[in-house]
Amino acid sequence: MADLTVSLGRLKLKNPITVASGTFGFGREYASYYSLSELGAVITSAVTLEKRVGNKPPRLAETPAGILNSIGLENPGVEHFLQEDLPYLQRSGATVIVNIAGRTVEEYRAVAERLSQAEGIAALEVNISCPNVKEGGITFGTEPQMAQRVTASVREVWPGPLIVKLSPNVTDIALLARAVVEAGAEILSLINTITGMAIDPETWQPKLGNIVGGLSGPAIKPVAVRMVWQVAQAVDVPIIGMGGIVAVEDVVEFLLAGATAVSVGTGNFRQPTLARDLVGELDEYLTTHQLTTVQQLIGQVGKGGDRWRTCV
Amino acid sequence: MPEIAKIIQNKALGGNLYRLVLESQSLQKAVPGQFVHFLVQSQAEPPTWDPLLRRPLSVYDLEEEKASFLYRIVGRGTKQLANRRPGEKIDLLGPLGRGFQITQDPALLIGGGVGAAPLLFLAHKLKEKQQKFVVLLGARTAQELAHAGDFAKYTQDLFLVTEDGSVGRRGLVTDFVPEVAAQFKVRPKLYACGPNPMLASLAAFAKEAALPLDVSLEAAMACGVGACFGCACQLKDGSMARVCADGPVFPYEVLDWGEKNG
Repeated sequence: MADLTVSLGRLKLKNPITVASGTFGFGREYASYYSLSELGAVITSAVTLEKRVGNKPPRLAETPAGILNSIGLENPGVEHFLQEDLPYLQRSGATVIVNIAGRTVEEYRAVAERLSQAEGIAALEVNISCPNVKEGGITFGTEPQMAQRVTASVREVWPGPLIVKLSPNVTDIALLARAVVEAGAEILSLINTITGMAIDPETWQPKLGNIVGGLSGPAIKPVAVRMVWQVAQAVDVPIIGMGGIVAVEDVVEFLLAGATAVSVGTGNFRQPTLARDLVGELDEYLTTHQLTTVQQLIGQVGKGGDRWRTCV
Repeated sequence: MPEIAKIIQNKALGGNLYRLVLESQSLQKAVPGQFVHFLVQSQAEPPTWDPLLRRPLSVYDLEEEKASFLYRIVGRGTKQLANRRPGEKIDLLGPLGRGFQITQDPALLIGGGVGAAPLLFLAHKLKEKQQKFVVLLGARTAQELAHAGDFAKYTQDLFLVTEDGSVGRRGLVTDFVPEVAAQFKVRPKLYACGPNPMLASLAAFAKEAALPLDVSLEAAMACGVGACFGCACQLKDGSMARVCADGPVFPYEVLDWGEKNG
């Protein structure tokens, strides 16, 4: 068996496979399919200061090799999370990364502060990129100064590993990456969903109740790989790459582009055991390619030596 | 766990309706109103990721190891499903969701179009329990009532309604509910599945007539297990419920019948 452990700075994971925020709830629904302790980490759905009911239905529209969603950060709020969901995740043996969101800088800070009082959270992931909440994400994720303010504010109250999740809905993602690293982000995760829209040609209505939503799934993978590669060139912090992972080849692609770990998101919906299966398949990939550690793949795009010969 | 089940039958019934029959271990514990989440692609071909999501279908009936499903071709997912052949394997997840709350009351089952699907299994269970029940099925045309014959197996109290009058009474199924409900000696419980406007109309009737009503909702779903909150429907108290995990069957009075669920 190959060595699957990875270090994202001081955040150590037993393997690089995590599940993406918003696709895995707080773990309960998938725990009947496998032990959550088998994953590198569970990244929770976004937690906000107060309960949020989310956007009006319909919230889903399937598109070619992808889906548009406009959930709108529906969650029970940080107090409920601390009382019910975090203890559950801890009992499950999962490494827990909590995704946080807010409408204002103060809300982000308040959630982070409240979570800093709890035990058993491996890292926070600051969601500055939800495209479905007008006040609560996208503006923080698309303006470098706002992104810095949120990051710095959370940094002041959260002593543990700090991940900032970047939005792809920007002209220059490297600029945003540098800005949040400067403000204290230790790890970057990307990409969040790409804003999109679908219209029903019969009813002439938008397919989503929110009109616009976030696109995910294999349809966005090339955009995500490109952005991970760009960010890996721009900053020195570790990256959690995601966007359309449905097979082990996708995991390898993200690692080669420069990610140290990956998140499986929309793929969970299709195959509930996907993330767990990918842990074993990555091990197999390493073995069949005569590799002993995940590290040997990270950022190695274009450095395959004479591997090209196997394809001629 | 997902199961790779064997297809025994996948037959066109007419009116774009199909009956899918599988041999399945995991579905033996299903109850009426629960659904199954299918990958529609061929298991023999290399994987493709389009359509990406599974397709939810209510259990149509369950007889020993044979689970059946009634579906209508409405898009590219169901179109691909219709291409699956007997002998092929199919990847399924289920049974999922919460089914009908079957009470001791005599029952009136009301199905609009392919919404009849969960009601056959319910009729089967009610017959086993030797409870009195009546089935009222509606569709646009006789062709789109191709499933009506399956119900005759469990009851003779079967009323058919078509919009064009090509079989049964002419009109909407909801036009005849008050009349049929009035014929019960003991007040019935209503069980319904069909298009949202039909369910909304039944909710109004149930409220007026003070009859209990369970509705099975249809929604586009992603995960099917309650994790993604994609199939949310609006509740009367302002909160949201997940059609996949909190439903798909709900007592009508908890739902918001305003425009939000439309």
